[in-house]
Amino acid sequence: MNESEALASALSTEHQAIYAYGVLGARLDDRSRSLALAAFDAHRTRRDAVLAVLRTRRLPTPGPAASYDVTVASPSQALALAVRVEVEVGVRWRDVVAATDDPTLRALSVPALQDSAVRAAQWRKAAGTTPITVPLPGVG
Amino acid sequence: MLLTRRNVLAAAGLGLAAACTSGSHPAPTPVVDPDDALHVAALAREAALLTAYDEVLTAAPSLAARLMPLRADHAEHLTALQVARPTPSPVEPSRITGAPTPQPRTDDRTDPATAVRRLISLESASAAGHASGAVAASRRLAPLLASLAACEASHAAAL
Repeated sequence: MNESEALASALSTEHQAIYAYGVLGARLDDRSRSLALAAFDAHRTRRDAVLAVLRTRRLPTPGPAASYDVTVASPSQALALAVRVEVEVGVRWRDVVAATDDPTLRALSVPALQDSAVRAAQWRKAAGTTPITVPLPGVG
Repeated sequence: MLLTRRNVLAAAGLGLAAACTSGSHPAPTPVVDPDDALHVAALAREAALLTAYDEVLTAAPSLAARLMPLRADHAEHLTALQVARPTPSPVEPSRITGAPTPQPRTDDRTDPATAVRRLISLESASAAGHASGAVAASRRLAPLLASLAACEASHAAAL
């Protein structure tokens, strides 16, 4: 995967994360919902950062899909989806790390991977699943 | 990518050596890979964390259920780093895993809350170190360092 493909893939997964958090937040209790809102904002910020990079490089900036398959019927399903979203985001950002030598892109992608791992751990904790952490976030 | 760069560096080094010693046997020129120092620093961070966990577990065994999964992550990090770069390193694995030997202590490590705060601080510092390494490293080492940085950030949050 080259740098442009990795960035496009990261953008795509950020679009999906924003959509997913919009859906799953409604299924959560107050405490988890505030976490979901914070995650929603964080993914919007990250999406905008990728868009800025792609525009600067005059690369395509694909928009979100019309909808995503994010059926959520219960709080436990919402928490499980949140974990899956963050795991997937982490994989895509690790791909960016592996696809670039540009320190600017590394400085964007490494914290993105870290944040997704932190949120995945928070969601696992909220869901009561163990272990809460994984040794190598971003390794699919 | 790394092999290419390494080959280029090696070729340049040999060419330079040959030019400087025309007629005599060229002296072996050490080839320095920038990843080497980053790799050694990452190994040292993981070794220090393992030691810190062992100290806390010895002093406060009641924390075992909470800490052992996190310690296991660090053991896996050490293995992953060793597998990633089995090339000669100034730090021997046997010395990493064994050193420094946990000392019996009478300080605040016996207080679980204080011990956990200390681990959070160490995890955060290590995450920052790995993250800096992941920005600077080659494409071959950077993804691993990024994953270590991510894991340790999640540890700091989980603790």
